[in-house]
Amino acid sequence: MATQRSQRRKSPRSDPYSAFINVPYDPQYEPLYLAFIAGLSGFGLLPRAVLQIPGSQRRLDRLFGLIHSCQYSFHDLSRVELDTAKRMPTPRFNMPFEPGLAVAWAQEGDRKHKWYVFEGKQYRVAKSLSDLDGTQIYIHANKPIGVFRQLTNALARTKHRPTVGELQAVYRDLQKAARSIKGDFATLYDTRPFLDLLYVAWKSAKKRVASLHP
Amino acid sequence: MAKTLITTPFPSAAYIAEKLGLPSSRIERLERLIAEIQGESRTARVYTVDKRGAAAAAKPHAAGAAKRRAAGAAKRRFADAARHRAASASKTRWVAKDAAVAAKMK
Repeated sequence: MATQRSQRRKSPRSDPYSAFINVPYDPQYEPLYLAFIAGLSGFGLLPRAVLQIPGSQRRLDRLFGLIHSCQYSFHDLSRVELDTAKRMPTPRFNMPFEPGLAVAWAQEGDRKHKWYVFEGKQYRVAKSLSDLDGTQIYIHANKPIGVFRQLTNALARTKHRPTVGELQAVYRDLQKAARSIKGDFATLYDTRPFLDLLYVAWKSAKKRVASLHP
Repeated sequence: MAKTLITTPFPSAAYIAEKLGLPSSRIERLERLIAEIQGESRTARVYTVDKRGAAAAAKPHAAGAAKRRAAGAAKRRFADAARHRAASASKTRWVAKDAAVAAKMK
């Protein structure tokens, strides 16, 4: 127990600005990926993802390190489904595994860590992951505006509260920038395009969230 | 369920620069991109509020498009009028012919 406590004390302090996003990295998901980046940036948070950390470290270590360093984590389970492989269709287990790590960290590591689960359809999580029964699941209906609505349901700021309309304006800017960034890197799911998107989203949020202007 | 209250101030430019570690050349490029995008959306707003006239004034290529649209409409109007004239002339000819035939028969 004493060792556990000392380990807890040794754990790195989480960054109050950092929000870990656990989303699928596939082309069909791009609008929601951009919506999470725009929405969280509008709330003055800095999204972080596994793809941000290049290196030879084991993926699981990177993942765990990242969850430790973030005060918030957002997990979208809307793509927990069988893939289209004909031979051996397999569900994507990464998605529910990561909230498992976050829940464990919030329970045993950093009590300040807040985690949120998002879904595309109502009652699907109750069927696929009944361990989360009693937990608030945020249903975004697979639409960017759904993500913004649910983020405003989940989060509030003491100062500079963004509205859904302002988050949408940030999203529109980010969407346009994403086209150009994708032209430079051929993908949005890599370290450099991700960092570029974060910068654009932050800059746009500064402009679009009305209360940030005197 | 209660909302989570974020008490931290909005992140500063220094914090973002430190966290993202982007080189200054990339930041400059992104700044230009953002300025371009936000300039575009301003123009789009003008377009929505004042319709074509304001957009034509704001964007030279929109002015060109408006001119082309006006020229196309004039051309269509001219063609319609010509068709109408031709049809009415042919009708007149047929009426005259019928009158001549009727006169002969009398």
